[in-house]
Amino acid sequence: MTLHWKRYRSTESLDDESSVEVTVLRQHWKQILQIFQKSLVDQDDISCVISHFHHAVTLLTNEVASHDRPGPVLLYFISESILDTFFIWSLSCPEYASELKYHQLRCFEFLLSRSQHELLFHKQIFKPLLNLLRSCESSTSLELIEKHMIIVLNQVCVSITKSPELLEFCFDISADHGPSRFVIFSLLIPFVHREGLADKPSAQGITTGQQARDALLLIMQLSNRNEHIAKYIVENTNFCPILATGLSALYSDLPYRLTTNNDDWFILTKKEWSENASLVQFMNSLQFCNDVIQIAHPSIGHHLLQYIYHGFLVPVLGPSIHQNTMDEVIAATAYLDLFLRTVYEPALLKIFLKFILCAKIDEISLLDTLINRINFTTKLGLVSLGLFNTLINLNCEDIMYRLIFMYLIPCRHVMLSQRRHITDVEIYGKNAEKFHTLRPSFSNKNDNSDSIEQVRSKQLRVTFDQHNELTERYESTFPAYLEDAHFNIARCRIACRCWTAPYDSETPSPDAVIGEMDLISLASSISSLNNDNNNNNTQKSNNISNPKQSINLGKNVAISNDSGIHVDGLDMNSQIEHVQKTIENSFQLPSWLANNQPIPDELLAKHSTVNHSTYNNINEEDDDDDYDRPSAFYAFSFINSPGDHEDAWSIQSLNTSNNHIRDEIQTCVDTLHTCLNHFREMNEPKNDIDENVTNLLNDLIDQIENSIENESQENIENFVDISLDSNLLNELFTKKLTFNEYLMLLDRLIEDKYAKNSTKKGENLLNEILLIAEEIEQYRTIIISDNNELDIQHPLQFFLSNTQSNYSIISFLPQSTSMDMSLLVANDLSNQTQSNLFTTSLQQQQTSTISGKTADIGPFLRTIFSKLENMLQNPLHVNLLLTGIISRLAHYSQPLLRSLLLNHSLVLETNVKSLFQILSNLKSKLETISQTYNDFNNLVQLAHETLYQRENNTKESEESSRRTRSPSRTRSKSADPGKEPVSKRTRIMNFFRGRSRVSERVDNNIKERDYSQVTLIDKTSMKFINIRENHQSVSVSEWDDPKTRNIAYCAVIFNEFLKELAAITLEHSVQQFDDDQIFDDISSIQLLY
Amino acid sequence: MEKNEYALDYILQAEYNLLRKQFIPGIIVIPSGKSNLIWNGVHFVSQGPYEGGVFRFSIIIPPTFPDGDCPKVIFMSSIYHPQINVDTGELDIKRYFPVWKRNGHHLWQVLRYIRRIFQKIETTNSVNVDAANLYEQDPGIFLSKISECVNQSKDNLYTPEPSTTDDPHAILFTPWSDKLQNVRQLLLTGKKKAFDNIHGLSWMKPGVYQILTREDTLPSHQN
Repeated sequence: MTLHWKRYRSTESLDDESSVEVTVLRQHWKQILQIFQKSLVDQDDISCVISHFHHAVTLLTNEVASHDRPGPVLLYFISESILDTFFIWSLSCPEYASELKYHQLRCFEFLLSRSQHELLFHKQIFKPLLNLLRSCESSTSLELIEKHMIIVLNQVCVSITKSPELLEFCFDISADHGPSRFVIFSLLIPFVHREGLADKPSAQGITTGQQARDALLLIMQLSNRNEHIAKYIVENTNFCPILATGLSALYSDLPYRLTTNNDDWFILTKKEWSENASLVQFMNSLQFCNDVIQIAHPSIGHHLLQYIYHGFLVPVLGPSIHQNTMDEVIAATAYLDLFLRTVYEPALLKIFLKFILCAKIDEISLLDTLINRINFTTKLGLVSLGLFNTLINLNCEDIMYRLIFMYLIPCRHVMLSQRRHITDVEIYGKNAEKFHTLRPSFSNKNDNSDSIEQVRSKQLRVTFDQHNELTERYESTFPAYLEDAHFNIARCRIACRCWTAPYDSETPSPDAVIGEMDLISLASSISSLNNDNNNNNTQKSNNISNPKQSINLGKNVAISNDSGIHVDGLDMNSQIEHVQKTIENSFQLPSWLANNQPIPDELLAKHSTVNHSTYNNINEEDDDDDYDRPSAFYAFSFINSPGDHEDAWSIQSLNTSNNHIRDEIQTCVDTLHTCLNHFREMNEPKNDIDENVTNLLNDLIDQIENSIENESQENIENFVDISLDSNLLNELFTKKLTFNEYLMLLDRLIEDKYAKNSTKKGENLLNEILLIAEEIEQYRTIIISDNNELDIQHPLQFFLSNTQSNYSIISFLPQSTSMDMSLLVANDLSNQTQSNLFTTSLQQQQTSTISGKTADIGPFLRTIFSKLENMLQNPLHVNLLLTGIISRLAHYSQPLLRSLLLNHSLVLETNVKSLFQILSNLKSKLETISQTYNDFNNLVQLAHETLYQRENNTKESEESSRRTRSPSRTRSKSADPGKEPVSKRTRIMNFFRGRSRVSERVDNNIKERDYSQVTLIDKTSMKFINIRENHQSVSVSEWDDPKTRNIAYCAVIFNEFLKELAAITLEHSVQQFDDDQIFDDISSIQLLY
Repeated sequence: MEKNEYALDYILQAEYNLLRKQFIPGIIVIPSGKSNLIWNGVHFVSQGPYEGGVFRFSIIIPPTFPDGDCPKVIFMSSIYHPQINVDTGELDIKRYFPVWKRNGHHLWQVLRYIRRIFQKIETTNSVNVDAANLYEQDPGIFLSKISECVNQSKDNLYTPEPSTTDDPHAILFTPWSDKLQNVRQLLLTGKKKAFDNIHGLSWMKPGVYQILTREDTLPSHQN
């Protein structure tokens, strides 16, 4: 009975209430309409209308909040078009527009936030809403309106994400207004770079900027599923360019100078950058780009990447790294490092790496610049080291290839007979022992009985949990290093599973890589020949793929990369970009090239030139063959391989200084050849030839005559200058400068050699030059007649007068520069329509060996090693970072690198210093210098304690002091929850160990890149070692000398570094047998329990 | 420089890794939980006169390893074999490794040797002269003695070896139970790659040694 009554009652009341509400609503609407009738409204009317409107919307809200389907109030709203009518009327009162808009926005906000079902499916709701939003576009200047507009937009985006069908609806409605506009999206775009950080909420919660970005991300997510919307965003909106150029704008707002009090600061931590508003804003936008690329449709992602590369990285970030003032450069480098640690979407990271590894700024390779800066003794050197630390921490094959493996693959750094030992497996700890033996022992002037040996034996006597508060001394123990090495190497190995090659001296093969490089360059030159005539040149095709030549050419290409690669198009990713510029972007490596096979005959025929081009090389027998041919296509390069060639210069010019100089002059002459040829291509007025060339020739002749007189001089100091000039020349080539500029350049080259003596061969050179002069004359006439036939499509083409003079120039400048040019010359006097490619590469080589091979480990390792050699002069923080980088490199298990760093028995080429050599030199230096002090052991001990204290202090004061920077800060950050559990030990080397982008990433709550949560099991590894109490006896004056202190620090670090390397070596001896299977076992075991 | 205590651990670890790579059939071996220098193993003989035998053994590694003396191999149960000392159970390993060469000899070769002695019986220079003579003169009785050994080893299969009772790494056998089916399944199929969350980066195209050449695969879109 009761139940019945209740039910009756409830339905009745519902109907009653509904009808009551509709009645009330009618009343409100009637009132509103009455005011609408007025021709003139005043403030009272507006207030009245707004009040009624609020009541009406409240009624609606109450209904939609309690019903999950349309009720009578909603139906009344729809039938009366209340919202639409109201909006249209509001437009008729421009003086109250803002107020009315604001209240409408608030009403929509209220309504949408309560609604139990999707109101936007009702056109009478959605349409006025869209219209309202569109009208807001013009009045975004009002902060209040702006704010609520974004809130409503966000709500709409959430709705669209939930019900994607609304999207069509949205376009439909918008279609009434001209070409279909996605008004929701275009309204949000201006707010992309608005400040506000999600995890730093302002007083009222999430900031407008963040809300807009969230809304946009919702649409991006939608675009991934809906190609239509992706296409619309890419084609009809300026979303991508705004994002990218916004980065540029925000970047230019960043502080030009980072105020740092601390010497050892080198990296921007999250704590630091979040204190700087402009940096936070930039990071928000970068983060947003990252997110967009990650979740949006690939077409949007690719577009955005293009814009970021061409709109931000190259034009803005690039020049900023080449700023004028040191402070700016330091800041820019630190920013770049920060960005690399922040970006986690691989595609975005890729263009950053492309920028770092391939870009040229002002024709200087960015990477070269960065590597060179490591040598700086200022803060810049430290920051640059920090950047490379970040780079090598990425476990990225491309970076490691570019920095290191590219140079190690040819195996020129090891003795030929040693190559097979690169993969050697040393399991008996010999290498580790070797590192241990390098630990210095210091003898004091006073011959103190407390030798380091005793200290060491104390260390080995492990004493747990036992320390004396006053005289404790902390030193990392060997097992602690072993443990670190274990997990670090394991992580690195796992990360490198995705690499394409093992880098074990067999794959990639030392020869194959080079060969391919070569062939690629050849291929590109061939493909640049666009004529389709068939020729009888097939019998010469073998010359092109002659393996010896291939190697040489390839070497040029490879080493020229040393000076950098300019990469402009995102589609063109090749390292040999500069060679490939003449070919189409779509150029693919043909299978025959990839397989190192000869060029197919038909291909040669197809691509060769109009006439009787013949591929040829410089060998005499070929010359004989082709001597009578009207044209000859030369492909030659005989750099650095005298053993393989008959070329007399190459062989003879190797070892005597006279020959060097002669070759340099030869270089000049040959450069002149090149210039002349180039000049013809430039097609300059004829009279210029006369003047410039004649002048130049006269100069040349004069100078050579002079140098013949000064025979006694053997000064080859300014090879470096020459090398610079060669680089300049190379740049000019690529810049396609005018002939005049070449001449000037040449002048400089010659001047540099002016002081040098010559030999009896000088006369020959003189004749050579005179010969050229004649040739120039000949050409002049030819050009007059054939001017118009020059093919201007290929800027680097040039013509030579006869086959005999078609040699490419090579100079051997051991210890400095070798300038080589590989020429592919099409030579045809009667038909100038050939297309030719001229490639030149200038290489700066450290040295050339007798066998003509470069023994080099690449500029990066070279720089790092030489910095290490300088360890005793480096400040503490440089040494910490430097040794950290080398240890990190040693974590890589690729045999090429591992053997170079850790295998002491591997015999390297004489001119390549091994890590062992450097370290043992340092050992003896340290030991020698220690004897100049009264009690060096105590100094070392004091250094230990100071370092330990300093780290502790930094940790303690971390919260309070905002500006005291220490690298250890980032380390202690890893103690945050969700991080790799920090081991309990306190070690000096912890200053920088363990900090990596990894921890930064985890900071950002990025789950997918969350690195392994390997727990360090050994809790006993913290060892407190009681050492003598007599350190007070250390002469205070000695310790007060900063130089002395630095050497003491150096001794501490050196000792720890050796322990670390020994530990890494031991770990490698165990892990080199491991494969993926072993890691799998771990999980299986875990599954069992 | 004194040889440090960790070096030996790492040498043994490396030896063990080498051994694992060999997949020597019929032999399982694991270092004792108490000392790295004692490796406990079981050999399941699958062919030859000792077929069916399950023999426990220990490898005792000298602390000077890899320099110095050969490791010792000691069988736990008494095995009637010309090369095995009937009293101590020690296998005559010197006949195969007269001098232990640090770079030529590895512990996995010892395991191979253990396997070999049960397949091909040699009688020259035996430590158990009786067994050698018997094998030469009366193979029938020899075989019956062997089958006694084999049967005994089978009977003792589930009996834990007394010397290893307190060893956490002791090899124990239990009769088959269905519960083990899951474990077996897990071992066979549960080969999930560990550390899936560690990723390196590479845009190199396999075989083409140029950096940043592989197309972006915007990984998020593959899901």
